[in-house]
Amino acid sequence: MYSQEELEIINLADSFTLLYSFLGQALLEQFCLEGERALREGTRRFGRDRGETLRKKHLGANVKVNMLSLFTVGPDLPPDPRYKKERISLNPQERVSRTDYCPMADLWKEYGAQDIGRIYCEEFHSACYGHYAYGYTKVNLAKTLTQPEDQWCAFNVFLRPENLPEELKPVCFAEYDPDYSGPARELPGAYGKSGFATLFLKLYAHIAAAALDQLGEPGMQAVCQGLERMAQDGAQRLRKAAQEQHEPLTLEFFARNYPLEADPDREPMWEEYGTNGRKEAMVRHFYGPLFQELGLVPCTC
Amino acid sequence: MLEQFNGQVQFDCFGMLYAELSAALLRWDRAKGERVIRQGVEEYAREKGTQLRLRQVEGGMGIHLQNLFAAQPCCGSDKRFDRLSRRDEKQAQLMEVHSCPLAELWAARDGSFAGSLYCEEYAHGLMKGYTDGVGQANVSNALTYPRDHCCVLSFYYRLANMTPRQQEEFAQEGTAVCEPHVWENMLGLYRGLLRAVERQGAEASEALRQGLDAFLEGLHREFPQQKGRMDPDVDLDGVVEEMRAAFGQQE
Repeated sequence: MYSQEELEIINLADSFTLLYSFLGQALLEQFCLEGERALREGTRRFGRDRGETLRKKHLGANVKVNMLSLFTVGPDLPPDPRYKKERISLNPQERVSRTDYCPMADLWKEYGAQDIGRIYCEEFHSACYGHYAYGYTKVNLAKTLTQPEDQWCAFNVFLRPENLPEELKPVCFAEYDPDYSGPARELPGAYGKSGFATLFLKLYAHIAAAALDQLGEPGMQAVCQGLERMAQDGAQRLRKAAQEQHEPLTLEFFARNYPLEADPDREPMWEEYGTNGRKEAMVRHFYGPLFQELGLVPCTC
Repeated sequence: MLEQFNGQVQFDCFGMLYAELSAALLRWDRAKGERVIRQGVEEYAREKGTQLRLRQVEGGMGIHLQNLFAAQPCCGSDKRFDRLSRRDEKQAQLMEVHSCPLAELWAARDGSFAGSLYCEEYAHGLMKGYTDGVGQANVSNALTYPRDHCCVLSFYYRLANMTPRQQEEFAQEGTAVCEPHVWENMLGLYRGLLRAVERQGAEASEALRQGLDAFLEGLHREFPQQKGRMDPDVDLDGVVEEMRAAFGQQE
Protein backbone atom coordinates (compact mmCIF):
# COMPACT_ATOMS: atom_id res chain seq x y z
CA MET A 1 0.00 0.00 0.00
CA TYR A 2 1.31 3.41 -0.93
CA SER A 3 0.82 6.51 1.20
CA GLN A 4 -1.11 9.51 -0.10
CA GLU A 5 2.15 11.30 -0.87
CA GLU A 6 3.53 8.28 -2.68
CA LEU A 7 0.38 7.99 -4.77
CA GLU A 8 0.78 11.61 -5.82
CA ILE A 9 4.40 10.98 -6.76
CA ILE A 10 3.35 7.96 -8.81
CA ASN A 11 0.76 10.05 -10.66
CA LEU A 12 3.32 12.76 -11.34
CA ALA A 13 5.88 10.22 -12.56
CA ASP A 14 3.41 8.43 -14.82
CA SER A 15 2.32 11.69 -16.43
CA PHE A 16 5.93 12.47 -17.26
CA THR A 17 6.38 8.99 -18.73
CA LEU A 18 3.24 9.28 -20.84
CA LEU A 19 4.18 12.72 -22.14
CA TYR A 20 7.08 11.03 -23.91
CA SER A 21 5.04 8.27 -25.49
CA PHE A 22 2.18 10.54 -26.61
CA LEU A 23 4.55 12.98 -28.29
CA GLY A 24 6.67 10.16 -29.69
CA GLN A 25 3.75 8.22 -31.10
CA ALA A 26 2.32 11.31 -32.79
CA LEU A 27 5.66 12.13 -34.40
CA LEU A 28 6.29 8.59 -35.60
CA GLU A 29 2.76 8.12 -36.92
CA GLN A 30 2.89 11.27 -39.00
CA PHE A 31 6.50 11.36 -40.10
CA CYS A 32 7.83 7.80 -39.73
CA LEU A 33 11.62 7.89 -39.89
CA GLU A 34 11.84 11.68 -39.88
CA GLY A 35 9.56 11.78 -36.86
CA GLU A 36 11.82 9.29 -35.12
CA ARG A 37 14.81 11.45 -36.01
CA ALA A 38 13.18 14.47 -34.38
CA LEU A 39 12.19 12.44 -31.31
CA ARG A 40 15.71 11.11 -30.89
CA GLU A 41 17.18 14.58 -31.28
CA GLY A 42 14.70 16.05 -28.79
CA THR A 43 15.53 13.29 -26.32
CA ARG A 44 19.24 13.97 -26.64
CA ARG A 45 18.68 17.71 -26.12
CA PHE A 46 16.64 16.91 -23.02
CA GLY A 47 19.45 14.67 -21.75
CA ARG A 48 22.13 17.26 -22.41
CA ASP A 49 20.07 19.97 -20.72
CA ARG A 50 19.70 17.85 -17.58
CA GLY A 51 23.36 16.85 -17.60
CA GLU A 52 24.51 20.42 -18.01
CA THR A 53 22.14 21.79 -15.38
CA LEU A 54 23.37 19.25 -12.83
CA ARG A 55 27.01 19.87 -13.70
CA LYS A 56 26.57 23.65 -13.21
CA LYS A 57 24.78 23.01 -9.93
CA HIS A 58 27.65 20.82 -8.76
CA LEU A 59 30.35 23.26 -9.81
CA GLY A 60 28.46 26.08 -8.09
CA ALA A 61 28.52 24.12 -4.83
CA ASN A 62 32.17 23.02 -5.20
CA VAL A 63 31.12 19.42 -5.79
CA LYS A 64 33.36 17.25 -7.97
CA VAL A 65 31.95 16.31 -11.37
CA ASN A 66 32.04 12.55 -11.21
CA MET A 67 29.87 9.47 -11.09
CA LEU A 68 29.26 9.52 -7.36
CA SER A 69 28.08 13.13 -7.61
CA LEU A 70 26.03 12.47 -10.73
CA PHE A 71 23.95 9.82 -9.02
CA THR A 72 23.86 11.01 -5.42
CA VAL A 73 24.35 14.76 -5.08
CA GLY A 74 21.18 16.77 -5.69
CA PRO A 75 19.88 14.49 -8.44
CA ASP A 76 17.17 15.99 -10.61
CA LEU A 77 15.15 12.78 -10.85
CA PRO A 78 12.67 12.68 -7.99
CA PRO A 79 12.45 9.34 -6.21
CA ASP A 80 9.64 7.00 -7.24
CA PRO A 81 8.81 4.26 -4.70
CA ARG A 82 8.13 1.64 -7.36
CA TYR A 83 11.66 1.25 -8.74
CA LYS A 84 13.50 -1.92 -7.79
CA LYS A 85 17.24 -1.38 -8.19
CA GLU A 86 20.35 -3.15 -7.08
CA ARG A 87 23.48 -1.09 -6.73
CA ILE A 88 26.55 -3.16 -7.55
CA SER A 89 29.22 -0.49 -7.41
CA LEU A 90 29.11 3.23 -6.80
CA ASN A 91 32.17 5.45 -6.42
CA PRO A 92 33.54 8.59 -8.07
CA GLN A 93 34.67 6.58 -11.10
CA GLU A 94 31.73 4.29 -11.71
CA ARG A 95 28.19 3.37 -11.09
CA VAL A 96 27.24 -0.21 -11.84
CA SER A 97 23.66 -1.19 -11.15
CA ARG A 98 20.73 -3.20 -12.33
CA THR A 99 17.10 -2.18 -12.38
CA ASP A 100 14.71 -5.06 -11.96
CA TYR A 101 11.55 -3.00 -12.13
CA CYS A 102 11.09 0.27 -13.99
CA PRO A 103 7.65 1.90 -13.85
CA MET A 104 8.38 3.84 -17.03
CA ALA A 105 9.06 0.68 -19.04
CA ASP A 106 5.99 -0.96 -17.56
CA LEU A 107 3.72 1.94 -18.43
CA TRP A 108 5.04 2.20 -21.98
CA LYS A 109 4.37 -1.51 -22.38
CA GLU A 110 0.83 -1.06 -21.08
CA TYR A 111 0.24 1.70 -23.65
CA GLY A 112 1.75 -0.30 -26.52
CA ALA A 113 4.65 2.14 -26.69
CA GLN A 114 7.60 -0.05 -25.79
CA ASP A 115 9.34 0.90 -29.04
CA ILE A 116 9.00 4.58 -28.12
CA GLY A 117 10.36 3.88 -24.65
CA ARG A 118 13.25 2.08 -26.26
CA ILE A 119 14.18 5.33 -28.02
CA TYR A 120 14.18 7.13 -24.68
CA CYS A 121 16.50 4.56 -23.10
CA GLU A 122 18.85 4.61 -26.05
CA GLU A 123 19.19 8.36 -26.35
CA PHE A 124 18.56 9.90 -22.95
CA HIS A 125 21.09 8.13 -20.73
CA SER A 126 23.96 8.46 -23.13
CA ALA A 127 23.29 12.16 -23.73
CA CYS A 128 22.70 13.08 -20.09
CA TYR A 129 25.49 11.15 -18.39
CA GLY A 130 27.89 11.82 -21.24
CA HIS A 131 27.29 15.57 -21.34
CA TYR A 132 27.40 15.89 -17.56
CA ALA A 133 31.10 14.97 -17.48
CA TYR A 134 32.17 17.02 -20.49
CA GLY A 135 31.62 14.14 -22.91
CA TYR A 136 34.08 11.81 -21.18
CA THR A 137 31.61 9.48 -19.45
CA LYS A 138 31.29 6.04 -21.00
CA VAL A 139 27.68 4.98 -20.80
CA ASN A 140 26.91 1.28 -21.12
CA LEU A 141 23.32 0.14 -20.97
CA ALA A 142 23.41 -3.22 -22.69
CA LYS A 143 20.14 -4.50 -21.25
CA THR A 144 17.01 -2.47 -20.76
CA LEU A 145 13.48 -3.30 -19.73
CA THR A 146 12.24 -1.57 -22.89
CA GLN A 147 13.83 -4.35 -24.93
CA PRO A 148 11.67 -7.47 -25.27
CA GLU A 149 14.69 -9.74 -24.76
CA ASP A 150 15.64 -8.26 -21.38
CA GLN A 151 14.48 -8.83 -17.82
CA TRP A 152 16.44 -6.00 -16.26
CA CYS A 153 18.42 -2.86 -17.09
CA ALA A 154 22.19 -3.29 -16.85
CA PHE A 155 23.97 0.01 -16.20
CA ASN A 156 27.74 0.37 -16.27
CA VAL A 157 28.52 4.08 -16.36
CA PHE A 158 32.07 5.19 -15.76
CA LEU A 159 34.42 8.14 -15.86
CA ARG A 160 38.10 7.20 -15.75
CA PRO A 161 40.66 9.83 -14.75
CA GLU A 162 42.99 8.55 -17.44
CA ASN A 163 40.43 9.35 -20.12
CA LEU A 164 40.33 12.99 -19.02
CA PRO A 165 42.55 15.85 -20.13
CA GLU A 166 44.89 16.85 -17.30
CA GLU A 167 43.03 20.11 -16.62
CA LEU A 168 39.77 18.29 -15.91
CA LYS A 169 41.19 15.76 -13.45
CA PRO A 170 41.03 18.14 -10.46
CA VAL A 171 37.56 19.28 -11.53
CA CYS A 172 36.33 15.69 -11.41
CA PHE A 173 38.31 13.89 -8.74
CA ALA A 174 39.32 15.10 -5.28
CA GLU A 175 42.60 13.16 -5.28
CA TYR A 176 43.88 15.38 -8.10
CA ASP A 177 42.95 18.57 -6.24
CA PRO A 178 45.16 18.87 -3.15
CA ASP A 179 43.46 22.09 -2.01
CA TYR A 180 39.97 20.69 -2.25
CA SER A 181 37.92 21.64 0.79
CA GLY A 182 34.77 19.68 0.02
CA PRO A 183 31.30 20.80 -1.03
CA ALA A 184 30.32 24.34 -0.12
CA ARG A 185 26.80 23.29 0.81
CA GLU A 186 24.40 20.42 0.67
CA LEU A 187 22.40 20.09 -2.50
CA PRO A 188 18.94 18.67 -2.01
CA GLY A 189 17.64 16.31 -4.65
CA ALA A 190 14.56 17.02 -6.72
CA TYR A 191 11.38 15.91 -5.10
CA GLY A 192 7.74 15.35 -5.98
CA LYS A 193 5.83 18.03 -7.81
CA SER A 194 8.60 20.54 -8.41
CA GLY A 195 10.97 17.83 -9.58
CA PHE A 196 8.58 16.28 -12.05
CA ALA A 197 7.37 19.70 -13.21
CA THR A 198 10.93 20.56 -14.23
CA LEU A 199 11.44 17.30 -16.08
CA PHE A 200 8.02 17.47 -17.74
CA LEU A 201 8.49 20.98 -19.06
CA LYS A 202 12.02 20.34 -20.27
CA LEU A 203 11.05 17.13 -22.02
CA TYR A 204 8.09 18.75 -23.76
CA ALA A 205 10.07 21.84 -24.71
CA HIS A 206 12.99 19.94 -26.21
CA ILE A 207 10.89 17.51 -28.21
CA ALA A 208 8.68 20.32 -29.50
CA ALA A 209 11.75 22.38 -30.41
CA ALA A 210 13.38 19.46 -32.24
CA ALA A 211 10.11 18.74 -34.09
CA LEU A 212 9.85 22.38 -35.13
CA ASP A 213 13.51 22.59 -36.13
CA GLN A 214 13.54 19.39 -38.15
CA LEU A 215 9.99 19.10 -39.47
CA GLY A 216 8.78 22.69 -39.46
CA GLU A 217 5.24 23.72 -38.58
CA PRO A 218 3.79 20.27 -39.46
CA GLY A 219 6.12 18.84 -36.81
CA MET A 220 4.66 21.18 -34.24
CA GLN A 221 1.17 20.18 -35.37
CA ALA A 222 2.04 16.54 -34.66
CA VAL A 223 3.22 17.55 -31.19
CA CYS A 224 -0.11 19.33 -30.66
CA GLN A 225 -1.97 16.21 -31.69
CA GLY A 226 0.06 14.27 -29.13
CA LEU A 227 -0.92 16.82 -26.49
CA GLU A 228 -4.60 16.46 -27.34
CA ARG A 229 -4.44 12.68 -26.99
CA MET A 230 -2.55 13.10 -23.75
CA ALA A 231 -5.32 15.40 -22.50
CA GLN A 232 -7.99 12.77 -23.19
CA ASP A 233 -5.97 10.08 -21.50
CA GLY A 234 -4.94 12.41 -18.68
CA ALA A 235 -8.59 13.19 -17.91
CA GLN A 236 -9.35 9.50 -17.50
CA ARG A 237 -6.30 8.88 -15.37
CA LEU A 238 -7.01 11.87 -13.12
CA ARG A 239 -10.62 10.76 -12.64
CA LYS A 240 -9.44 7.28 -11.68
CA ALA A 241 -6.75 8.68 -9.37
CA ALA A 242 -9.23 10.95 -7.57
CA GLN A 243 -11.60 8.04 -7.12
CA GLU A 244 -8.85 5.81 -5.73
CA GLN A 245 -7.67 8.53 -3.36
CA HIS A 246 -11.29 9.33 -2.33
CA GLU A 247 -10.88 12.97 -3.23
CA PRO A 248 -12.87 15.37 -5.40
CA LEU A 249 -11.26 16.16 -8.73
CA THR A 250 -10.48 19.84 -8.27
CA LEU A 251 -7.81 22.16 -9.63
CA GLU A 252 -5.99 21.63 -6.37
CA PHE A 253 -6.04 17.85 -6.90
CA PHE A 254 -4.76 18.41 -10.43
CA ALA A 255 -1.94 20.58 -9.11
CA ARG A 256 -0.81 17.91 -6.66
CA ASN A 257 -1.08 14.98 -9.09
CA TYR A 258 -0.03 16.43 -12.43
CA PRO A 259 3.40 17.90 -13.20
CA LEU A 260 1.93 21.13 -14.59
CA GLU A 261 0.62 24.11 -12.62
CA ALA A 262 -3.17 24.50 -12.78
CA ASP A 263 -2.52 28.04 -14.00
CA PRO A 264 0.34 28.04 -16.53
CA ASP A 265 1.07 31.70 -15.79
CA ARG A 266 2.25 30.63 -12.36
CA GLU A 267 4.97 28.43 -13.85
CA PRO A 268 8.18 30.50 -14.18
CA MET A 269 9.92 27.88 -16.31
CA TRP A 270 7.73 28.76 -19.28
CA GLU A 271 9.73 31.93 -19.67
CA GLU A 272 12.71 29.88 -20.85
CA TYR A 273 10.99 26.78 -22.16
CA GLY A 274 7.75 28.20 -23.56
CA THR A 275 9.12 30.30 -26.41
CA ASN A 276 8.28 29.77 -30.10
CA GLY A 277 4.66 29.00 -29.30
CA ARG A 278 5.41 26.06 -27.04
CA LYS A 279 3.54 27.46 -24.05
CA GLU A 280 0.57 28.50 -26.19
CA ALA A 281 0.46 25.03 -27.76
CA MET A 282 0.32 23.43 -24.33
CA VAL A 283 -2.46 25.78 -23.21
CA ARG A 284 -4.56 25.29 -26.33
CA HIS A 285 -4.02 21.61 -26.98
CA PHE A 286 -3.62 20.20 -23.49
CA TYR A 287 -5.06 22.49 -20.81
CA GLY A 288 -8.14 23.42 -22.85
CA PRO A 289 -9.36 19.90 -23.75
CA LEU A 290 -8.34 18.46 -20.39
CA PHE A 291 -10.16 21.02 -18.28
CA GLN A 292 -13.16 20.91 -20.58
CA GLU A 293 -13.32 17.13 -20.27
CA LEU A 294 -13.03 17.32 -16.49
CA GLY A 295 -15.43 20.23 -16.15
CA LEU A 296 -12.83 22.28 -14.34
CA VAL A 297 -12.69 26.06 -14.63
CA PRO A 298 -10.31 26.69 -17.49
CA CYS A 299 -7.20 28.69 -16.88
CA THR A 300 -7.44 32.38 -17.60
CA CYS A 301 -4.52 32.72 -19.98
CA MET B 1 52.91 -13.59 -41.54
CA LEU B 2 51.01 -15.93 -39.22
CA GLU B 3 49.76 -18.35 -41.84
CA GLN B 4 51.99 -21.12 -40.50
CA PHE B 5 49.96 -21.08 -37.27
CA ASN B 6 46.42 -22.27 -36.96
CA GLY B 7 43.64 -19.80 -36.12
CA GLN B 8 43.77 -20.29 -32.38
CA VAL B 9 47.52 -19.84 -32.17
CA GLN B 10 47.20 -16.72 -34.29
CA PHE B 11 44.57 -15.35 -31.98
CA ASP B 12 46.70 -16.18 -28.95
CA CYS B 13 49.47 -14.14 -30.54
CA PHE B 14 47.17 -11.14 -30.52
CA GLY B 15 46.28 -11.73 -26.86
CA MET B 16 49.93 -12.23 -25.91
CA LEU B 17 51.00 -9.09 -27.74
CA TYR B 18 48.44 -7.00 -25.86
CA ALA B 19 49.34 -8.67 -22.56
CA GLU B 20 53.05 -7.89 -22.91
CA LEU B 21 52.66 -4.36 -24.25
CA SER B 22 50.11 -3.38 -21.61
CA ALA B 23 52.11 -5.00 -18.79
CA ALA B 24 55.24 -3.09 -19.81
CA LEU B 25 53.34 0.20 -19.97
CA LEU B 26 51.70 -0.31 -16.58
CA ARG B 27 55.08 -1.24 -15.06
CA TRP B 28 56.54 1.95 -16.45
CA ASP B 29 53.85 4.16 -14.89
CA ARG B 30 50.55 2.88 -13.62
CA ALA B 31 48.55 6.03 -14.38
CA LYS B 32 50.27 7.22 -17.54
CA GLY B 33 50.50 3.65 -18.75
CA GLU B 34 46.76 3.28 -18.32
CA ARG B 35 46.21 6.49 -20.26
CA VAL B 36 48.43 5.28 -23.11
CA ILE B 37 46.70 1.90 -23.21
CA ARG B 38 43.23 3.43 -23.28
CA GLN B 39 44.19 5.88 -26.01
CA GLY B 40 46.03 3.25 -28.00
CA VAL B 41 43.24 0.69 -27.88
CA GLU B 42 40.63 3.30 -28.73
CA GLU B 43 42.67 4.55 -31.66
CA TYR B 44 43.33 1.02 -32.92
CA ALA B 45 39.65 0.08 -32.71
CA ARG B 46 38.45 3.31 -34.30
CA GLU B 47 40.93 2.98 -37.15
CA LYS B 48 39.95 -0.66 -37.63
CA GLY B 49 36.24 0.27 -37.78
CA THR B 50 36.93 3.09 -40.22
CA GLN B 51 39.03 0.92 -42.53
CA LEU B 52 36.45 -1.87 -42.48
CA ARG B 53 33.70 0.58 -43.40
CA LEU B 54 35.74 1.99 -46.27
CA ARG B 55 36.51 -1.53 -47.58
CA GLN B 56 32.89 -2.56 -47.33
CA VAL B 57 31.60 0.58 -49.05
CA GLU B 58 34.02 -0.02 -51.88
CA GLY B 59 32.95 -3.65 -52.09
CA GLY B 60 29.27 -2.70 -52.36
CA MET B 61 28.44 -4.11 -48.94
CA GLY B 62 25.82 -2.59 -46.68
CA ILE B 63 27.21 -0.58 -43.80
CA HIS B 64 25.23 -1.96 -40.92
CA LEU B 65 25.74 -4.03 -37.81
CA GLN B 66 25.18 -7.41 -39.43
CA ASN B 67 28.01 -6.75 -41.82
CA LEU B 68 30.21 -5.26 -39.10
CA PHE B 69 29.90 -8.35 -36.94
CA ALA B 70 30.04 -10.75 -39.87
CA ALA B 71 33.43 -9.31 -40.73
CA GLN B 72 34.69 -8.71 -37.18
CA PRO B 73 32.64 -10.74 -34.73
CA CYS B 74 32.77 -8.57 -31.66
CA CYS B 75 36.23 -9.07 -30.11
CA GLY B 76 37.44 -11.74 -32.52
CA SER B 77 36.47 -14.67 -34.71
CA ASP B 78 38.27 -17.35 -32.70
CA LYS B 79 36.21 -20.51 -32.28
CA ARG B 80 36.79 -20.54 -28.54
CA PHE B 81 34.46 -17.57 -28.07
CA ASP B 82 31.20 -18.89 -26.66
CA ARG B 83 28.74 -16.29 -27.89
CA LEU B 84 25.01 -16.09 -27.51
CA SER B 85 23.40 -13.83 -30.05
CA ARG B 86 20.22 -12.42 -28.55
CA ARG B 87 19.34 -10.23 -31.50
CA ASP B 88 20.98 -10.11 -34.89
CA GLU B 89 19.66 -7.19 -36.94
CA LYS B 90 21.11 -4.53 -39.15
CA GLN B 91 20.29 -1.77 -36.66
CA ALA B 92 20.70 -3.65 -33.40
CA GLN B 93 22.90 -6.44 -32.09
CA LEU B 94 22.48 -7.91 -28.63
CA MET B 95 24.88 -10.56 -27.42
CA GLU B 96 26.42 -12.27 -24.47
CA VAL B 97 29.86 -13.85 -24.36
CA HIS B 98 30.18 -16.72 -21.93
CA SER B 99 33.74 -17.68 -22.72
CA CYS B 100 36.48 -15.46 -24.15
CA PRO B 101 39.99 -16.70 -25.01
CA LEU B 102 41.39 -13.21 -24.54
CA ALA B 103 39.99 -12.87 -21.01
CA GLU B 104 41.34 -16.33 -20.15
CA LEU B 105 44.78 -15.64 -21.58
CA TRP B 106 45.01 -12.29 -19.80
CA ALA B 107 43.77 -13.73 -16.50
CA ALA B 108 46.40 -16.49 -16.71
CA ARG B 109 49.05 -13.76 -16.98
CA ASP B 110 47.68 -11.66 -14.15
CA GLY B 111 46.58 -9.18 -16.79
CA SER B 112 42.87 -8.89 -16.12
CA PHE B 113 43.12 -5.22 -15.18
CA ALA B 114 44.84 -4.40 -18.46
CA GLY B 115 42.23 -6.61 -20.12
CA SER B 116 39.44 -4.55 -18.60
CA LEU B 117 40.98 -1.42 -20.14
CA TYR B 118 40.80 -3.14 -23.52
CA CYS B 119 37.15 -4.09 -22.96
CA GLU B 120 36.25 -0.58 -21.83
CA GLU B 121 37.71 1.03 -24.93
CA TYR B 122 37.61 -1.44 -27.81
CA ALA B 123 33.90 -1.80 -28.58
CA HIS B 124 33.27 1.93 -28.28
CA GLY B 125 36.18 2.71 -30.59
CA LEU B 126 35.16 0.11 -33.16
CA MET B 127 31.61 1.45 -33.33
CA LYS B 128 32.81 5.02 -33.51
CA GLY B 129 35.00 4.23 -36.50
CA TYR B 130 32.57 1.97 -38.32
CA THR B 131 29.56 4.27 -37.92
CA ASP B 132 31.44 7.57 -38.03
CA GLY B 133 30.34 8.37 -34.49
CA VAL B 134 26.65 7.73 -35.02
CA GLY B 135 26.30 4.23 -33.57
CA GLN B 136 26.31 3.23 -29.95
CA ALA B 137 28.18 0.46 -28.13
CA ASN B 138 27.25 -0.78 -24.67
CA VAL B 139 29.41 -3.12 -22.62
CA SER B 140 27.59 -3.55 -19.34
CA ASN B 141 29.44 -6.63 -18.19
CA ALA B 142 32.81 -8.03 -19.22
CA LEU B 143 34.70 -11.21 -18.43
CA THR B 144 37.75 -9.13 -17.54
CA TYR B 145 35.87 -7.64 -14.55
CA PRO B 146 36.21 -9.84 -11.45
CA ARG B 147 32.52 -9.26 -10.65
CA ASP B 148 31.17 -10.58 -13.96
CA HIS B 149 30.64 -14.09 -15.28
CA CYS B 150 29.85 -13.12 -18.86
CA CYS B 151 30.07 -10.15 -21.21
CA VAL B 152 26.79 -8.40 -21.94
CA LEU B 153 26.91 -6.24 -25.04
CA SER B 154 24.54 -4.29 -27.21
CA PHE B 155 25.11 -2.17 -30.27
CA TYR B 156 22.77 0.20 -32.07
CA TYR B 157 23.09 1.95 -35.39
CA ARG B 158 19.75 3.57 -36.13
CA LEU B 159 18.53 4.70 -39.52
CA ALA B 160 16.92 7.67 -37.86
CA ASN B 161 20.30 8.89 -36.63
CA MET B 162 22.12 8.44 -39.93
CA THR B 163 23.07 11.07 -42.47
CA PRO B 164 21.64 10.64 -45.99
CA ARG B 165 24.99 9.21 -47.13
CA GLN B 166 24.97 6.69 -44.33
CA GLN B 167 21.42 5.70 -45.20
CA GLU B 168 22.53 5.02 -48.77
CA GLU B 169 25.46 2.93 -47.56
CA PHE B 170 23.19 1.09 -45.16
CA ALA B 171 20.97 0.09 -48.07
CA GLN B 172 23.76 -1.47 -50.15
CA GLU B 173 23.01 -5.12 -50.68
CA GLY B 174 26.37 -6.89 -50.47
CA THR B 175 26.94 -9.10 -47.46
CA ALA B 176 30.22 -9.35 -45.61
CA VAL B 177 32.30 -12.39 -44.81
CA CYS B 178 34.51 -12.97 -41.82
CA GLU B 179 37.85 -11.14 -42.00
CA PRO B 180 39.96 -12.46 -39.11
CA HIS B 181 43.03 -10.45 -40.19
CA VAL B 182 44.80 -11.27 -36.92
CA TRP B 183 48.18 -10.10 -38.10
CA GLU B 184 46.79 -6.82 -39.40
CA ASN B 185 45.04 -6.37 -36.06
CA MET B 186 48.31 -6.95 -34.23
CA LEU B 187 50.01 -4.31 -36.33
CA GLY B 188 47.06 -1.99 -35.86
CA LEU B 189 47.12 -2.43 -32.09
CA TYR B 190 50.84 -1.77 -31.98
CA ARG B 191 50.41 1.29 -34.21
CA GLY B 192 47.67 2.66 -31.95
CA LEU B 193 49.80 2.22 -28.85
CA LEU B 194 52.83 3.63 -30.62
CA ARG B 195 51.00 6.86 -31.44
CA ALA B 196 49.80 7.09 -27.84
CA VAL B 197 53.28 6.59 -26.35
CA GLU B 198 54.77 9.15 -28.71
CA ARG B 199 52.56 11.74 -27.03
CA GLN B 200 54.04 10.73 -23.66
CA GLY B 201 57.73 10.95 -24.49
CA ALA B 202 60.83 8.78 -24.67
CA GLU B 203 60.29 6.76 -21.48
CA ALA B 204 56.90 5.61 -22.67
CA SER B 205 58.33 4.66 -26.06
CA GLU B 206 61.03 2.66 -24.32
CA ALA B 207 58.43 0.84 -22.20
CA LEU B 208 56.51 -0.10 -25.32
CA ARG B 209 59.68 -1.37 -26.96
CA GLN B 210 60.37 -3.51 -23.91
CA GLY B 211 56.87 -4.91 -24.13
CA LEU B 212 57.40 -5.78 -27.78
CA ASP B 213 60.70 -7.51 -26.97
CA ALA B 214 59.00 -9.47 -24.20
CA PHE B 215 56.30 -10.58 -26.65
CA LEU B 216 58.76 -11.69 -29.32
CA GLU B 217 60.98 -13.49 -26.82
CA GLY B 218 57.91 -15.05 -25.28
CA LEU B 219 57.00 -16.67 -28.58
CA HIS B 220 60.08 -18.90 -28.28
CA ARG B 221 59.12 -19.81 -24.74
CA GLU B 222 55.42 -20.38 -25.37
CA PHE B 223 55.30 -21.97 -28.78
CA PRO B 224 56.75 -25.38 -27.98
CA GLN B 225 53.64 -25.76 -25.82
CA GLN B 226 51.46 -25.15 -28.85
CA LYS B 227 52.58 -28.36 -30.58
CA GLY B 228 49.79 -29.87 -32.62
CA ARG B 229 48.23 -26.47 -33.21
CA MET B 230 50.82 -25.34 -35.74
CA ASP B 231 52.81 -26.56 -38.70
CA PRO B 232 55.55 -28.81 -37.19
CA ASP B 233 58.06 -27.44 -39.69
CA VAL B 234 57.42 -23.82 -38.79
CA ASP B 235 60.52 -21.71 -38.74
CA LEU B 236 59.84 -19.89 -35.50
CA ASP B 237 63.05 -17.87 -35.55
CA GLY B 238 62.22 -16.72 -39.05
CA VAL B 239 58.68 -15.73 -38.10
CA VAL B 240 59.87 -13.81 -35.05
CA GLU B 241 62.41 -11.89 -37.09
CA GLU B 242 59.85 -11.09 -39.75
CA MET B 243 57.50 -9.86 -37.04
CA ARG B 244 60.21 -7.74 -35.45
CA ALA B 245 60.90 -6.14 -38.82
CA ALA B 246 57.24 -5.53 -39.51
CA PHE B 247 56.65 -3.94 -36.10
CA GLY B 248 59.77 -1.85 -36.63
CA GLN B 249 58.32 -0.52 -39.86
CA GLN B 250 55.39 0.92 -37.93
CA GLU B 251 57.73 3.29 -36.12
